Amino acid sequence: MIIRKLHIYGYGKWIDQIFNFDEQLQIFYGPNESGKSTLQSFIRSILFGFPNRRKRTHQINRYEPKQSDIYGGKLLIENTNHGDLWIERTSKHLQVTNFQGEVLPNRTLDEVLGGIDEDLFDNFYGFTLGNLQELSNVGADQLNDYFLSIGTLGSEKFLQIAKALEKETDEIFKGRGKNPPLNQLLNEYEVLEEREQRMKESMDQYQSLVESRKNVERIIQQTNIRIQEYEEEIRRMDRLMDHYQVYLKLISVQGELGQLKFTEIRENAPKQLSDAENIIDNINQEIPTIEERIHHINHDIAQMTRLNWAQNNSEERVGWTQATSKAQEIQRRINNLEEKRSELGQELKEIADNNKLDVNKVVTEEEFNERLPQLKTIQFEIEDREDELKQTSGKQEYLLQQRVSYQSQGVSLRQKIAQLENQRVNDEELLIQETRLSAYFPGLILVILGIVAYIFQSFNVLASFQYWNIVGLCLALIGMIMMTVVFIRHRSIANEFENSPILDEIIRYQEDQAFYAEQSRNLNNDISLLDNEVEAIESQIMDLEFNRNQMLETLGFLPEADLDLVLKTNPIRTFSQVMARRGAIQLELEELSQKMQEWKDEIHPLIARFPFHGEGDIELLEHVNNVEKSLVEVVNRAKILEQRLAESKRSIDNYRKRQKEQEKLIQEIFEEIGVWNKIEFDQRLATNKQIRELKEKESIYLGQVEPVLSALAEVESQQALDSEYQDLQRQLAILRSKLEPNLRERANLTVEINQLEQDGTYQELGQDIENKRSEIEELTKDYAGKKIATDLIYQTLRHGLDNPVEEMNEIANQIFTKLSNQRYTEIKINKRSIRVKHADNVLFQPHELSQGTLEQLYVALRLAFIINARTMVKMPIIIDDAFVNFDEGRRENMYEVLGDISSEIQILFFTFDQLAQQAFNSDQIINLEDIQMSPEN
Amino acid sequence: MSDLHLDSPFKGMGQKNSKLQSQFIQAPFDAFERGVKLAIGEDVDVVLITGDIYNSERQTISAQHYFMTKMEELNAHHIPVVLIHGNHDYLKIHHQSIVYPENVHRFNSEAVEFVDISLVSGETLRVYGFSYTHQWITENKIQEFPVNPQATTYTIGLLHGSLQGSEVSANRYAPFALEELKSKRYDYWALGHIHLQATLSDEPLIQYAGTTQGSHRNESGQKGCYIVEFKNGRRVSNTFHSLAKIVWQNETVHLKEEDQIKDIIESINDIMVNYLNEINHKKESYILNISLKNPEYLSQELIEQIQQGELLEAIDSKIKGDYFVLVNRIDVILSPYQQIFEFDQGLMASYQTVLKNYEEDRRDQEVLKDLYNHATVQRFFDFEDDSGFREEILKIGQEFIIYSTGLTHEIEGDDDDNS
Repeated sequence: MIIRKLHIYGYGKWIDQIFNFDEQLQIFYGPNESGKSTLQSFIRSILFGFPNRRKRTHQINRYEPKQSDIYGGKLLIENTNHGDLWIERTSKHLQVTNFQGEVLPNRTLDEVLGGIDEDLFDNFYGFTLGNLQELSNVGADQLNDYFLSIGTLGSEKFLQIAKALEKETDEIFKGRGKNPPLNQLLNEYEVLEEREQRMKESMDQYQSLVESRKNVERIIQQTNIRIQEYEEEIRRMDRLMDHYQVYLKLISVQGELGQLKFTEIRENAPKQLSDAENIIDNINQEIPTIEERIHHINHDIAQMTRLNWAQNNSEERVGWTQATSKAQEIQRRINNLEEKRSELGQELKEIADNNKLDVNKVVTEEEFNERLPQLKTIQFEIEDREDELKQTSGKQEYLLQQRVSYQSQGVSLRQKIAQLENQRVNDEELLIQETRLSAYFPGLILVILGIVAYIFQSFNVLASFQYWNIVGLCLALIGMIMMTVVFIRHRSIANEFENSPILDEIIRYQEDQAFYAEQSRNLNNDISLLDNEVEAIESQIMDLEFNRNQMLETLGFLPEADLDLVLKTNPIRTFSQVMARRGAIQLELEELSQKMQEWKDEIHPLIARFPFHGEGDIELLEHVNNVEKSLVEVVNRAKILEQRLAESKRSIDNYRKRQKEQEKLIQEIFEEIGVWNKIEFDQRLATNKQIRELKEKESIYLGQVEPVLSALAEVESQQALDSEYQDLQRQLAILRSKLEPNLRERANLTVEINQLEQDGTYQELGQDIENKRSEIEELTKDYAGKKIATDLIYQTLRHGLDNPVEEMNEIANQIFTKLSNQRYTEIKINKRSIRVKHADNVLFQPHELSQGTLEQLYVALRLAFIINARTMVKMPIIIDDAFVNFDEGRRENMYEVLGDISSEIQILFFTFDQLAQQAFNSDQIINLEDIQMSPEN
Repeated sequence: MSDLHLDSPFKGMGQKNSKLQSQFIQAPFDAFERGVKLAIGEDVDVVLITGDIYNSERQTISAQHYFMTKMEELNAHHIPVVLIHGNHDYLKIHHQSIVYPENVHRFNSEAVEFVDISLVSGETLRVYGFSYTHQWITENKIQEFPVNPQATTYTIGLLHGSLQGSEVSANRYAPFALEELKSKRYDYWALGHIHLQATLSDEPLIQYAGTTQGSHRNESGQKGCYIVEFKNGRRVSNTFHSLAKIVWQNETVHLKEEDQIKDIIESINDIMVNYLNEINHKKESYILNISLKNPEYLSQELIEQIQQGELLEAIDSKIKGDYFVLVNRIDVILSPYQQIFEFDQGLMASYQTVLKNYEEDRRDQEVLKDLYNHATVQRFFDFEDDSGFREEILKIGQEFIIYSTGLTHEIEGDDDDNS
């Protein structure tokens, strides 16, 4: 198989790139990062699939292009058993097409690859530096195996598998082991089988158990029948013993009955007798009660003293009642009048309060009218004086305001003066600044320079410049002019400052201020004159007011009384009128009180008998009414008591009569039975009752013992019965004690039999054994499978090793001789070992060779194997700079060998070795760096 | 009915389903009970049982007792039973003392005998048969059966045995040839011993009823009994009735590209749900063995995990009332085209040679001598002489190599990542 063309759509850094491999040996030249690895990966990916997470064995990196959407590309491969094919693989699909453009099934690729997977491809067609470096890691004793294994494709890997599987089998089972799981399971199985064996034995006893149970059951049955017979007899005895006591009682009852005689008594006689006696008893109890009641009533009546008095004064009481009702009417009127009087008193008090009157000093109306004009005159004068006072105060107020105005104008002028003075100070400061002496300085310098120049010229000996004196004069002149200008300017500024108008202004303002101060002082004098005037008027007003108040007081007013109000309303008149009305009511009240006194005199006897402890006429009226009411009640109660007294006397008479009747009835009954008294009668009755009870017992006893009466009659004694019963019990106990062990045995046997019949443990054990067996079989298959797998691998590989290929050996010899520069001439391979022959015919084992020679041996064997493996598909060899560590001579040899081999098999050689560039024809070389120049391409 | 195997445990269950263990143990009893109920319900004229009622080697009183109670039940319904003993429950001395109720006729010896039964219809029936008193019967017993003497309306032969040449060990179990049976001109041959129900001949009817309850995965599908109806001297019908309470089923999941573990679980779950839906009207529990086909779509790691039972652990039994559906095994079935050493014809040839001679060379005796010589294995297991076992481990061994080559790829890849 030859790869003829790569078309990369997008793979790592390669985007839309085409490579044509025209040569059998194709060199890819370029430094690191030039895309060598990416190209190798691309070829692998198209043939074997893209690296992915699960399958990242051979290609660590993924190469999805960053700048292209399509991941993948296609290969043109030639010389396959399907002819020339395009293999196109992208992230979406794999497509195999032949040269005619027909799409072939995907498995075509598998067929073309002939079962070689990426792993094997790497192992055999890929040469990397790593392969050679690995050699140094192989131990001396394993080198033989290692080289031998090259001859059998993939054997190394299979040996690894075999070892791994072998190790696993040891973890499952060991012939003499105890702990591996299969050993454990087998032990457990053994235990289960032993248990089953034991159970089996117990199963065999089943029949004999059933037989024994049958025997025991027969014995039990027979014993049970005898026990039942005994129990029946015992029950009979039991009955006799129970009844025997009753029987004895029956005999005794019958004996008693024979000694008693029955008396015939009418059935209702005892009841009649006891009824009559009860009635008499009741009457005897009742009569004293009634007598007692009569006594109480009489006593109550005697106790009622008011009654007597009420009855004795019945006529007078009528008169008192009438008088009292009249007195009540009078009393009501008194109450009304007193209420009115107090209302008038209240009115008077209000008048006095409103008009500030002193109630005790009020003068009559006439007196008041007489003094009124005088009062009015004083009042008018006071008002005049107050007007005058107001006017004077007004004038004074005006003057005060004017003075304030003058003062404020003065203040404002002072502020303006201060401002102007401040400005003067600033101007002065400005002046000083502008007229500084430093302004003369430049002028002065020029003058000095001029003078110096002039003097310099005078002593000058240099002939180069002759006009220093003229220059000096000019400079001095200019300096003088400048200083003059400055002086004139300073003067004008100073003049301006001294003649400023501000000075005049300040003087004008100061004059104005003096004028206002003068005006203000004049006003002060006028104001103090007006002050005196006001004081005089105020003193006059106070005198007048004092007179007025004194006059009011003599008229009966309080000092605070309002004169205006007094003049307007004339309160004295109103006050006098109310006073008159109150006097009339007072008179009427005195009259009525006289009438009340008359009433009290009239009812005096009543009060003497029922003294009054309260106060006032109203309570007295109530008292008199209450007394009369209670007297009426007493009289009524007395009437009721007398009626009850009469009733009680009547009922006592009735009772006495009934008592006599009952005593007669009792006597008749006694005579009828023939007894003398109640005691005898009761005795006869008791005897009769006893006879009846005994007869009842007799019939009950008879009822109980009836069925066994005859048997009982034959019983000798209680003792005889007892001893016979004891005998039976003893025999029964003996039988039962015989039964018990049999029962126990039957129970045990039944348990055992039931266990065997019902118990599922045996079945469970069977299932357990079967489960365990299944586990053992599973694990055994696992174990045995692994063992067999190991053996299969060893057997197969040995088979391969036993048949080394002559032809391959031949090719390896040639390559090795060439690589080693004819120092070694032959590789000797047999089943067990590999040796190389030095040019001087000495044989060496691999571990005796230098690292370099080992590497050559390795390469020779690998290449020889590939070339010789006829049965395998001839894939291109990919070499990834594997020989960089060879020295120059060896590399040259190597490249020569590669050139030879490439006639048989395509070689893709990725390198950055300059020697390679020289060693090979430039047609064979693709310089990857050149392509890098135009990455867009 | 036949091959009740009342006390036979379920095989190949492992410890996983220990919760359902009691149901497994109970299953053969339940199946037989269903059979007895069916007989009573259909009011059959006679019940024929053709051997292997229980296992004499591992006999349990409990099973015998149970069988007895069922016989009594049939007796109470006046249904006669004719039974023979087979190789598993061959008659030992003390068994002969067991007294069955009067409706049961048991053939007690290896000599062919007969029993006559009067039917309710007024017709008569003669049944020929014999019981095993040894584990094996190698001689031809058929010649001891007489040609139908026509002494009764119907004649039936009971036989516990295997068809000549049908299996390796067939000659140990009263071997017979079909033509021999036909030549006896009986109305019906009821056969026992083979657990798969099978009708060998329709006219005359010769058939195995099969076991009533499958006990391992090779006894999959419904198991039960036949009701054969004769009327007026002719056979009218022959109907199979399912009795097994637990049915073994083998199912296949075809894997697709990019299937993940959850897809597999889902597929298995779908199968389980389908069976779960059957439960209501079929009144059966199911033990499923799942085969995964096309495992190349799975990663090697996943296959390894499945083979180590991790997938099985993730699948829980489904329970519906008294019934259940459980998955007992998940097997990965390798596609045929995966070949070892495919890349190298020479090695491949070596491999094929080794493989071909493996059985002949008895390499197993060398490779597994530690195992074969283990005391417990020698006493209780017969791996060495079990050609089926040898065949299977050879297959497993090859599979290990295939898996391992894939697996080592993975491991190397991981190493690369780490470095």
